[in-house]
Amino acid sequence: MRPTYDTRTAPTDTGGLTLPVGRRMLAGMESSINLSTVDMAVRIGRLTLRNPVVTLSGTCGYGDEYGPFMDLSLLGAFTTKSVTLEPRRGNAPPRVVETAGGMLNAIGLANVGLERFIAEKLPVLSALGVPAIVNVAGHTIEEYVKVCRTLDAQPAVAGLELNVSCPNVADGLVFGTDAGALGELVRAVRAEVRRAVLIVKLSPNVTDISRTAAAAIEAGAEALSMVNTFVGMAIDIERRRPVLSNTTGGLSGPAIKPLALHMVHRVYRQVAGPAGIPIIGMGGIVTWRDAVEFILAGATAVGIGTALFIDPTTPLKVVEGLRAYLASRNILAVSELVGRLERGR
Amino acid sequence: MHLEARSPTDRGARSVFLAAVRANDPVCRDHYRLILALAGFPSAQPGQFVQILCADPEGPPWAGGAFTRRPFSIGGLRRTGNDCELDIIYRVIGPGTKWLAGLRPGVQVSVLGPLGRPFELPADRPVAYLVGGGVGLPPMIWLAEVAAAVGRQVVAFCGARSADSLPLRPRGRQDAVPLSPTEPTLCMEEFAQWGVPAVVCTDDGTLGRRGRVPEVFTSYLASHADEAAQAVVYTCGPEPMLRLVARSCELLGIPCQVCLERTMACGMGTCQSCVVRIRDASDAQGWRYQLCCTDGPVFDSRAVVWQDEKWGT
Repeated sequence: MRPTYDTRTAPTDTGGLTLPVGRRMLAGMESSINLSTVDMAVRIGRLTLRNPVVTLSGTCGYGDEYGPFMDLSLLGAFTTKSVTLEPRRGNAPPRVVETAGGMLNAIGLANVGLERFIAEKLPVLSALGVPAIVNVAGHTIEEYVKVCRTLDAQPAVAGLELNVSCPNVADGLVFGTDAGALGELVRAVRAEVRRAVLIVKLSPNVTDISRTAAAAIEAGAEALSMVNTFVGMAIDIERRRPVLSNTTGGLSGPAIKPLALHMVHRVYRQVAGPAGIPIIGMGGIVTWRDAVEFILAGATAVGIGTALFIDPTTPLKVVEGLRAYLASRNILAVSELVGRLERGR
Repeated sequence: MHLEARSPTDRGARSVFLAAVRANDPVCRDHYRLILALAGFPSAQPGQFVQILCADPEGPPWAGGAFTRRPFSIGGLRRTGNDCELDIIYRVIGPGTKWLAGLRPGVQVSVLGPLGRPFELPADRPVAYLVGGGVGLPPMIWLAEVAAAVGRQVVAFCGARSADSLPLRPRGRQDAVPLSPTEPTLCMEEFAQWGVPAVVCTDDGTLGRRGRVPEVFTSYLASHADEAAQAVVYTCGPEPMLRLVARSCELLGIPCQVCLERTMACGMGTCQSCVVRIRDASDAQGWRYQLCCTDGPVFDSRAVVWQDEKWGT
């Protein structure tokens, strides 16, 4: 049972945030606590992350690409580019286009395929010193099951994230937008995955995301990552043609943050919170302030995606900003902030 | 002259840097030359590029000129101790470069790099022909410096639509630029400073010879067969131009390295947007995708399936 909030509790600083931190406050301590005292660890199912900031599928390659730019072992977790049973070339270019406050992409799940992923990419990934979540996509339930079963047998794989929401392939959205089909898929995979944590990445391209969230949880998802990109398009008015060769693409970046935040809030309140299922919140996060918003809305962890393209060290800046925020408010553990949105004015 | 010692593929050397604008002045009607001052910039070589954030590095990501970084080839690099100056020569074409054009000396910009694979200078080819068109000329300027410094006999072939879209400064009076394609002279300041002679042509004849650079270059090859037999050709510019230059080289068996341009979001091999079709006999369709940012931007011309080439599906 969640603690009830006493809204009369005095704020711990002038930030105006009124968290019930009295119980955890160090006795008699007026100023902020030491940064190193803040417990940044979070749990995603059976997986413990050293901090709540993860990198997102399709924005950080297979592990070695950002090695020169940052110490990847400082991440909470790393999520790979989607892996499919067979290699995929992906879509013809143009594959991306910048839009207001974000970008559209239609890569088309270009990847090396399961066999080469295990032979060439997984050894690199396992040497990073960070929990590796492998994003899995497929055409059919059988394909998902085969890939997940094979990867579950690899000790280097800490988590499996089902990509049921890629908007850029012909069959990508089927599982993500139909709660019945999604439940069936998750159940089939659940039966085969024994070791890795099973995460389902939800599509925002639905009428009511709580329904697909509930279906995934009911079928055995241990965590939800949300949300994937929003379907969108851009048109070249000179050529009178879509800019992307795929016509449509997935919108990401700060432009989608309010939409994604709302969906995390809704699913946390209606489904995931009551069920005790953690949410990895994502969608346009660039700064630690964005991360705090997602955590307050109900995310246990947060994902950085498109922002990596601009600055690969963004996750580390978010971790440090988040830690300082917590310390300045005498909050001893980031997990205490999850879903702690105040009601009323 | 800055011969960079470290391996260009040393990925441990890349990072995000804050650079100070030292100068940002028009070179011609369409192009600006931005000089950036950085501390501790890693070793880099001609053909490599940087990704510049065309927005205030401290501001929100949607403020300023552009959201994702923009790639720019390095047009020159000078070192003094730990300090480094980069030349970025750019054409104003969209919100990012428009924002760049407004930068005043002293302000800071965020630079990611150096990125990509550089040109190679094989030891057994003593001649280097540099063929650049328009905004493809900047990497040629730096390559001219480096190639001349390691003893190559360098000739530059420069093309643009017209004199006011050529990002180079004539040495002396414009009307003194010779019209003959067969006699390169020290006519363009950016190349002449390294002792590199150049041939200039413009589509409208407003500077140098009237015509397009592939034609001028091809006629030069025909009249200098002995010299050309010992050359490597380096080229950068619009892809139809690259394709014509590459074709002339292939007919004569001269190795040709092309520096390609693609739309890219990251420049680090993760966004997968800057794909180039590369011939691959082991593939059922005869080609596979490589990334312009990490596999290129410099490719062997014989490997490239051109954008307008009908090939496979």
